[in-house]
Amino acid sequence: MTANLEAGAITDASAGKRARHLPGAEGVWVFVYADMAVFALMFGCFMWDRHQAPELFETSRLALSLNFGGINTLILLTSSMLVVLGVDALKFGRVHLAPGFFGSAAACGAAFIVSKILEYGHKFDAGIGLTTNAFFQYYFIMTGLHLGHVAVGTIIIAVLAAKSRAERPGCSVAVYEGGATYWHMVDLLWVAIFPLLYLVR
Amino acid sequence: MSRAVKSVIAVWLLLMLSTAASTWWFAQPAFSPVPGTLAVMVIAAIKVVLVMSHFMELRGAPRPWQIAGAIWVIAAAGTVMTIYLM
Repeated sequence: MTANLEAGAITDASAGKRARHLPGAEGVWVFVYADMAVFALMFGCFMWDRHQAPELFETSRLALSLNFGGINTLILLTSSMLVVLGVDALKFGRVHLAPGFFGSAAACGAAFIVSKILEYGHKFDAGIGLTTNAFFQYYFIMTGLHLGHVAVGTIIIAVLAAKSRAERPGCSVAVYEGGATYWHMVDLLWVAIFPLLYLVR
Repeated sequence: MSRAVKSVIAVWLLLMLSTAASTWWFAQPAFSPVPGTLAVMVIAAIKVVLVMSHFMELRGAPRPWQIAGAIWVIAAAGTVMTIYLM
């Protein structure tokens, strides 16, 4: 059993010998890369507009809460890791652990959404909105689009949590890998958006 | 626990610590702005690579998908850092 688990472990050395494997369906990856390309374009536009009006962008940035942004990053990173553990449990015969991992990951997604709503609430209370200035336009559009991705991802992971309760050892994991790939992209995008909006001085 | 899971947990710890370092050290007013921001940007790029390789499992994926991921990181980080330093 242990030997099987070790043989199944994906390491850099074993990847060369074993067949290379793309987790989930190729279509998911095409969508993920297209989505990431759109965000990368937004990152470039943001930096360009920031370059034109550095004082405006810096004074506006100071109104953001680094604590909210930082904690949200920690929440999504943890959620991503839990999804990895969930997929791993399904792959390596510890199927009974999967619903707990996916369920906790979905709870992290819900926590991110609640925290973001609170953060938006503070901004609106301070009289800050989408039309305040160029910086806040980027802030609300980028974080809003990302929040939409988080909402969709949280639902996907919650559905996978429910579905995994009925799985038996040796089940197909392709659907789980596809959902996981999307969820990791949501995490990856926040890892880039957070420093760009909150931390660039 | 499989070996893959052990390395994923180590990567997660690194991601958490580097996020804390960026947010509550390099980006704080006490740290000088330009070096602090460049540190934040480099750390973010490394974090993206770690999420791609260990969470998205790109390190065991076919080459073309790895190359596409690498192009994204280089293009995004390169553009952001170039404009920042202009």
